[in-house]
Amino acid sequence: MNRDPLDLLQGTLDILVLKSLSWGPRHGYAVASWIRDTTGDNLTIEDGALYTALHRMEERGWLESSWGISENNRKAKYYQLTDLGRRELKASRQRWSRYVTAVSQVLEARA
Amino acid sequence: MPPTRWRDLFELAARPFRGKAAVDREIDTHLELVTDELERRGWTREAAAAEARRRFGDVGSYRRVIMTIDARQQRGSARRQWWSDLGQDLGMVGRGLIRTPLFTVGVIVTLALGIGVNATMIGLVDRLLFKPPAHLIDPDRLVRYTLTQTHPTFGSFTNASVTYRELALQRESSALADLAGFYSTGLSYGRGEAARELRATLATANFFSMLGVRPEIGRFFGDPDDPIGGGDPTVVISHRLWQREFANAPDVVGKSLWLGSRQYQIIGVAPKYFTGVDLDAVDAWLPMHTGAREFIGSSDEWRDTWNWQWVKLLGRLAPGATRVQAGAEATTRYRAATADDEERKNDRGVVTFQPLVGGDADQSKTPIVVALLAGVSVLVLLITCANVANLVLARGLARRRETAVRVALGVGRGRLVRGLLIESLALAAVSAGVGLLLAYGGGIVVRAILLPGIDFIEPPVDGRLLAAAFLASLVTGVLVGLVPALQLSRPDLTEELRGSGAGRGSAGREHVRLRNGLLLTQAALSVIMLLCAGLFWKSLRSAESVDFGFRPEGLVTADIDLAVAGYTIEQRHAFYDDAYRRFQAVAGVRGVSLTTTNPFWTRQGTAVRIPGRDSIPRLKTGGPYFSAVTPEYFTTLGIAIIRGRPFTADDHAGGARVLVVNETLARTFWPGEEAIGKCLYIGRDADICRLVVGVSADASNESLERQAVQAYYLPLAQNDSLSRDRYLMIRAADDPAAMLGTARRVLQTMAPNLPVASARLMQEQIEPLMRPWRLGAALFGIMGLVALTVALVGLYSVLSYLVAQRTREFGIRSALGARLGDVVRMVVVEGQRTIVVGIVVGLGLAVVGIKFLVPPALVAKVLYQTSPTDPWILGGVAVLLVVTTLLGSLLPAFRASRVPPMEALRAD
Repeated sequence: MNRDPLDLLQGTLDILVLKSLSWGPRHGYAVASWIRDTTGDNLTIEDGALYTALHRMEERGWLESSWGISENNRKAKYYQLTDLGRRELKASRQRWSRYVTAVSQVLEARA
Repeated sequence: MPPTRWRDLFELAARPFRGKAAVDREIDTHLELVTDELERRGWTREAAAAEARRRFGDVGSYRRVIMTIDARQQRGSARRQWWSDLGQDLGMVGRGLIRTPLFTVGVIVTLALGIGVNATMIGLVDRLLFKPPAHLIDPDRLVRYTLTQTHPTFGSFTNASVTYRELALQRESSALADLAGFYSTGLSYGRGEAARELRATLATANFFSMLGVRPEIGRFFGDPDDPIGGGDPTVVISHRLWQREFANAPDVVGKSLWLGSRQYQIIGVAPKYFTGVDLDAVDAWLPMHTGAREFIGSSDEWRDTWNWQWVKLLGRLAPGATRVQAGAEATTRYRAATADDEERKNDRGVVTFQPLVGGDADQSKTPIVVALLAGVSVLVLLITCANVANLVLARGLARRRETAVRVALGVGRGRLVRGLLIESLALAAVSAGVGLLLAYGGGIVVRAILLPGIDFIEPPVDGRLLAAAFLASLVTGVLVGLVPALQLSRPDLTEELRGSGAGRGSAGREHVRLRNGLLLTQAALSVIMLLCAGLFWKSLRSAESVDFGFRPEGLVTADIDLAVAGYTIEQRHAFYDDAYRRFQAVAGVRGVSLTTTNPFWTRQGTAVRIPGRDSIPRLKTGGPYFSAVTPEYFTTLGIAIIRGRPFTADDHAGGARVLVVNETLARTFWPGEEAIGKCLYIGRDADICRLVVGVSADASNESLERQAVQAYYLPLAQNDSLSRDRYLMIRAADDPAAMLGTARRVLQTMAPNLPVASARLMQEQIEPLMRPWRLGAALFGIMGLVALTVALVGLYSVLSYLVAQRTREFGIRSALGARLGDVVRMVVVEGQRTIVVGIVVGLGLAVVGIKFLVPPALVAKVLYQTSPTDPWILGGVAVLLVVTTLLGSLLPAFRASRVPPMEALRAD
């Protein structure tokens, strides 16, 4: 945990959120916990930014929401992917792979 | 936060939050979940809560951002919802309309008639009264010059035709940027047998540049083309003539045309639809000084005289100047210039500048009639609105239960009203389309038949009219939809759902009252419309049966312009004397006569002196006018000689000087005395007192109104150079139209190289005077018919609805032994009650309106010898409406009488 936390690349948060919801509906806290656990705290994301992203993606029609009861009996807003969201996830994943491949090729290139 | 938690216990988990509450709750839940988690890991509660907030970031600003996003989304989805509802409503309206084709067609036909009639009228009114002529730059700054002179005995006259001197005089005015003159008239085109007449305008060199018009091809004439005294003959032709005679050939410039006495070289073509500033078509424009000889001969006296009022002046106001300023300055100039003129110095002349369109420089009655028609066409639209509202209402009532179900299912009132408005707007839009088609056809017919003299330059339907029709249909749609919408959007739910409310509850009665009100309105408005039609028809009949004092039917007048061919006066007179003798031998001619004036065309006067008196008694109608005529004149025209004798062959040049006076002259010159045997000096320097040998009946010469005008006749042989003009009057034995051709042929053969001979039916000369009434009678007739049709449809629908409502009642009645006739009578009486009240109201309104609202002068101007409250017409209209509506109510009545009792009892 002594490494510097990475700043989030533009647009990456959306991919993370979409991916986290690909296993089914979750509320915002669960999305945040999943991202933190999966990245091993390498990314610093303010929770507020995460919620902003959730609402923005809902507006775009990638997510839809409903109210439900959380594990410890609190009312929470659950988000789930729409068909549009699933398509977006697929597209984002491909974009991301191409991006990584391209950058890796540059970094590993010999003069 | 305990209160929140308390409340949570009692709330359904899935209940949605909205807006700020939802965002707050979401964030709170998150913070609590994080806090719990940290607490589990051993943090203190306070530290955990602080950490949760730290991890979240700035709560306040994130909340604001999220709420903005949510609000945006909310609006987006509301909009989507609205559009999807609209789509649904449209679909429903469409299906509903298709399901009830009778209703739909009825409404569209009615509305299309209403809108079509209006569009036609608006088109005419726009063209005649409002729209500036085509191709002019800044037409609002263009003004027409009119001169009002006040005569001590005859009163004041306003004239748009003035002297050329005034043009020269007013050109320098500082309130005017420019001043042009023009004169439009017929001009012969071609030579001999092929000669025809076209309409030409003499225009000053600055005419085109002042209007701002640009030529289609070639150029317009300017100052160098038109020096004082005339230049090379040049002409600008119309687009129409270019098309007709030269097939739009681009090399037309440079070619020549025979116009009047010589050939004119074409220098340019005016743009399509350009007619100058008036409505009448013009085919050729000639430079004024150059072209003047075709109308006036080689004399140039016209430039300086105060006695020749012919040219119309058109000015463009200087920047910043007003019409009033220009008028004041022009009046001052006019008075200064006429101070020395014997005739004009006391005429108290006032110059006014009128706008190009809509001013009163035009004294014709047609604009009044057209304006009146426009007002009435609005009535037609109101009638159709009332009727369609009635139909929509009837349909809405038929669907009351459906509406009630929808309301019960939670469909908002706003949405219901919207549905009804959509329905009526959709109907109005379709009707507007059909109406415009009607207007297009109607416009063509109306123009061709009723206003043949006006060259309409644009198609009957143009952009302005489209806009007007769109507006009309919008207003109609809203009006028609609103009343039923408001009525139907508050149905009595329980009553409707029980299914027993069908028209017998209080709500039902209210609807019936509304529908009867609409029907009554319709009947009343129809009466007014039919009344107008009747009055104009009567006026037309009176105008047509006017006793002119002579018989115009079968009378042909002919003349030929010999002056332009360079004939001297003596040659001209010899030519006519020859023609007069030839026509006596032509088959089909019952009588022929020569005269120096042509009724309804020209008239002439000269000084008259009664021996021993200082002055002659003058009448407001002007005169005395004279005609020098051949002996058969009175028999040819059919003017009765009341006392004494007509002229005979003995009244020749060498005989004793004699004259015949008309009744009015005899009565006013020698009241209470016998005119025959008296004598008069005729002409300024007369030294012979001419003996009155006969008294003739008054014959109209100018207007339909029988005015007493002083007139006298001289034998043509004793004309003594009082008049140079000659006209042939020919009475045809049978076919006057064929006589026209014959007359032209005879004259043309006598002078093979001359310009066109003109021959007209006397009735054509009178026709323009009839036009306002013909127009009024025809158009009001059409509108009255539309109104009647619409009223009939309205009544039919109301009664059909009533019958449907009372099916059970009628069934029971016939079950109880009511006879067919009883039921029929019930229904018919029901309808007629409303109609009769409507008729009475309409007649009352019309009579009161005419008596107290319309100035009697206007009535007198619009109606010819017809009282606006003519009892026969009032009665006729009432009877017509009663009879037609009776017929209209018979069908529903019979349907009511045929309701089988069992079905009636089962209904509902």
